[in-house]
Amino acid sequence: MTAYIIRRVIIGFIILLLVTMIVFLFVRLLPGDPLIVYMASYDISAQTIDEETYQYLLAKFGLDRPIPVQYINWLGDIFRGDLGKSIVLQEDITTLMANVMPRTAYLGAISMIIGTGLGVLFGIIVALRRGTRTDTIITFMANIGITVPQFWLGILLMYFFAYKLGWLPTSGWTSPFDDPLMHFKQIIMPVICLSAAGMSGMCRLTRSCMLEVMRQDYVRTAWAKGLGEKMIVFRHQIRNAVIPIVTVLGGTLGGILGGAIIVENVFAIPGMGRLMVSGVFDQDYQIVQAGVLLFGGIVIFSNLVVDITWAWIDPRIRYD
Amino acid sequence: MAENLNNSTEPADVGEAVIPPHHSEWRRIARVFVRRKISLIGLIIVVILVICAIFAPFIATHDPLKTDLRDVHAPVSTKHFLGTDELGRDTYSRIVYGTRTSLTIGVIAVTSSGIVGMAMGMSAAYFGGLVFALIMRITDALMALPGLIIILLIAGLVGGGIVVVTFALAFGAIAPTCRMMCGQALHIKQNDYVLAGKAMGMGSVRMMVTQIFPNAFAPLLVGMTMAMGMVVLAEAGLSYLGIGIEPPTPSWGAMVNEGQAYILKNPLLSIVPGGAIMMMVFGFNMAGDGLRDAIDPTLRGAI
Amino acid sequence: MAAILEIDNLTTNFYTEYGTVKAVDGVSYYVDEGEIIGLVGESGCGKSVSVLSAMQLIQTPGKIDSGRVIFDGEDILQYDSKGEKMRSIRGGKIAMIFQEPMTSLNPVLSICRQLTEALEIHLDMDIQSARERAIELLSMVGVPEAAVRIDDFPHQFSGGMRQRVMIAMALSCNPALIIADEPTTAVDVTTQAQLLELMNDLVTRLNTSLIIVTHNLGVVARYAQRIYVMYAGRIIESGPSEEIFENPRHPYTIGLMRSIPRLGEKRGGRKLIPIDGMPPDLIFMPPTCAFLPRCTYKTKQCQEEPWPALRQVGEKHRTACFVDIGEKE
Repeated sequence: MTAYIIRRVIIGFIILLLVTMIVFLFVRLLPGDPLIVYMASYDISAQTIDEETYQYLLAKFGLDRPIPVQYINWLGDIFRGDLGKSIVLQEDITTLMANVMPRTAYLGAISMIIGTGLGVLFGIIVALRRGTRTDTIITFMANIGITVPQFWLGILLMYFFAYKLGWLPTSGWTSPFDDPLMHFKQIIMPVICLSAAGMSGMCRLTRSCMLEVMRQDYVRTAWAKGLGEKMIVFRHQIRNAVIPIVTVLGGTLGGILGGAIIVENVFAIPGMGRLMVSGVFDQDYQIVQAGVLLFGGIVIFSNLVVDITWAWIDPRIRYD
Repeated sequence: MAENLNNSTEPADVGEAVIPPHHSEWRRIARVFVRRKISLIGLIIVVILVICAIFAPFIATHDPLKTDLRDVHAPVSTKHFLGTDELGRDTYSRIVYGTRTSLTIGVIAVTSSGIVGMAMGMSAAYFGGLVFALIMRITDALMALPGLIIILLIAGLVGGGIVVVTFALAFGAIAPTCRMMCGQALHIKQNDYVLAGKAMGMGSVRMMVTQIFPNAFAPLLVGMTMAMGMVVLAEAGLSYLGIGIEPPTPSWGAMVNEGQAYILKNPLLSIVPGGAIMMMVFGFNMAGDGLRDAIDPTLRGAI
Repeated sequence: MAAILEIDNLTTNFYTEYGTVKAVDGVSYYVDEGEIIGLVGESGCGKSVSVLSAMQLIQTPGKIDSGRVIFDGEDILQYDSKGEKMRSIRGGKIAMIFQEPMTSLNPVLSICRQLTEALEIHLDMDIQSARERAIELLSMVGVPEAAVRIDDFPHQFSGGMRQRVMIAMALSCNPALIIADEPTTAVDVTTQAQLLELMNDLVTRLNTSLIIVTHNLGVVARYAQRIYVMYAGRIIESGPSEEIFENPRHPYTIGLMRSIPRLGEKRGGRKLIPIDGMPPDLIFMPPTCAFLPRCTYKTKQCQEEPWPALRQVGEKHRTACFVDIGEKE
């Protein structure tokens, strides 16, 4: 078990390094000279500066060194918590992100809990009642849920609940410490949008895992022992069925974080997603890069947690 | 052996009726589709949308780009089936042409990611060892970055536009395809016919092309159908954010965004293109589900 | 002696997308108290399905369409398959041992948990005494260091050891009957012999009846008192073991005997003859005898008349064949 955890941690670290490498290579190799972007932000055209100044600037930003050296320097900065400075907003990116990230993380966590919790629950119910009307309806809803574009769902909810019925505010963000009720009202629709896809995906996966487990020989053994259906479901089926479910949790979280980018823009929530999209529009690649690294780091870390949980559930790994 | 064959054909003497009919593979697949109505519906939706995209000029009633400022926000009528937008463009025609945009981007992105992902996955499975470990870690890293985020990074660096978006979407779809192909190839590699090929001294490339690829083709097809749904959804998301397709090219995601400002005045402007996106994704997902179950029910969960 | 379990005219069909598979087609057999019987046939002949039907463990698309299963004077097919009455029979009065030791034990539960749960239900034991009893059972079936290994998980056991666990599980609640469905097919030959000896030993000692379902004639020859031979969902021959082995009367049984080597036989002494052809497709069954296409004894009557019913050919020996093959070899 300890060996397993150590191995997972090392692999997680390697993946993290690879993520930084991919991001770095993208930034360096894709068309779009960072220096020109930098100058553009000061309304300096590349033509107007002479060769000497250009070389000076290259040296100043360390862009004249070989790519691997640049990478190491860049990586060093990141691990020191220095994500650079936003060219456009003229602010330290680490500070900028420290302000907005908690909102995204908060919304993401709530949606993750609701999405997976309800998704797994519905999946189990549907698997136990396969072939019935409940199964047909919920499975159909789940199929719709993985299909519906989040921004469109957001707009529909907004149209009905905010504009037509007037029950909820259209958009915006209020801190829960300032006005808890308003805060609650404002996050209802974003959370529904964020959790819908995850919940539906979970429901579908749980259903097929449960159906798969039901066909297993050991379930037949359990029936042959004379156990009641409840005990078979809870003791013999669910534990086996959740093993594959746990492995996709990391991916689900990634999906929710990706969705946050869109949903925050629909509901005007000042979080990471909005910051990144505005970064894209402003050609402020440093912000986008920082966001990518942060999201990647979160997904890798949660995958690590998932791997360890998995080992705890599955004795085949626990006792290796 | 010859005797066995002779004997097994003997039931003929107790009448033709007892000879089991030959189950053709295509008939079986067709039957699964017909039996699972939802897959059939998915397939029909896909076919209709493809027809829409190919014959858009005949199906649309107006030029999707032609503005008419004397007829903005027109209501639903026989002239404009779904009304017009804030510039007087015919919503119905824009939806029809939007099929083209979505499908073109989707097909190009999925095919190219399919080719690259397949090559990577098959190499990983075939060569094993270091190559396998390296490719797996790279896909791990790619999968740690939610699809939309890689795309944002690329778009943030080089700006939006149809080419960038297609490239970014293709890039984002490589990792899952690679994983799936690797799994399939590993599975196939254990089969005797591959060992036999190896024993006969077949080269690696030849082996992959002649032995592994044909057997992994069906799951690849299923995977690509499913990927279509994801790519279409991601493209719509990007266009909604304004990073994807540049106006005035009709794109469903962008149409939802443009319509959002007039949601109270003319809700159809947002609702209809969003519904179109949903239909397309639903079609591909359900057709993919059906295809998977029809080709090989054991793939459930693997794809 | 009274029959402990009697299966009467049981019919189980599987309604698949290709058509109806007549897996078990009007099968009847019984087991006496303390008796060991063998149910023999090729794979797919319906032998496993018949015992699973008796326990009401058939899953969709399978369905028990008719017949009775009499246990303790009651037709247990009338019980609700998930109900209290059926559950008290399963594991408590009739226990099963399955074919695949690798997949028949739950991978995420400890051996202790899997052994004790039946004890808790059927014998109302508390956790502590159930655990003690489980350790006792494990050592009884020959698992070394039972007190330590009880907390292991299935993946830590070898195939043979897992099958011993299955045997312990079956014996745990002192059932009147154990049904062993291909109990030794998935383990290697030396382990096979050990397991069979163990099972034979234990059931004789505890006076438990045993149904061995197998395709291995050697297994039944050694342990079973009576044999039922199944083909294409029906019983085609039945009788005491010695009779069946000495004097098989159905062409299929004769074919089976010729196709297996016997213990103590000289090499090259007798040529092994395989049965030509394939078992019939259970969806498209001919109205005539299902063995007809492969039969070397067939007559005109066989091709014209429907599948014959079992008829008496000896005191307890019955066969489903028109032809009097007689006492020749």
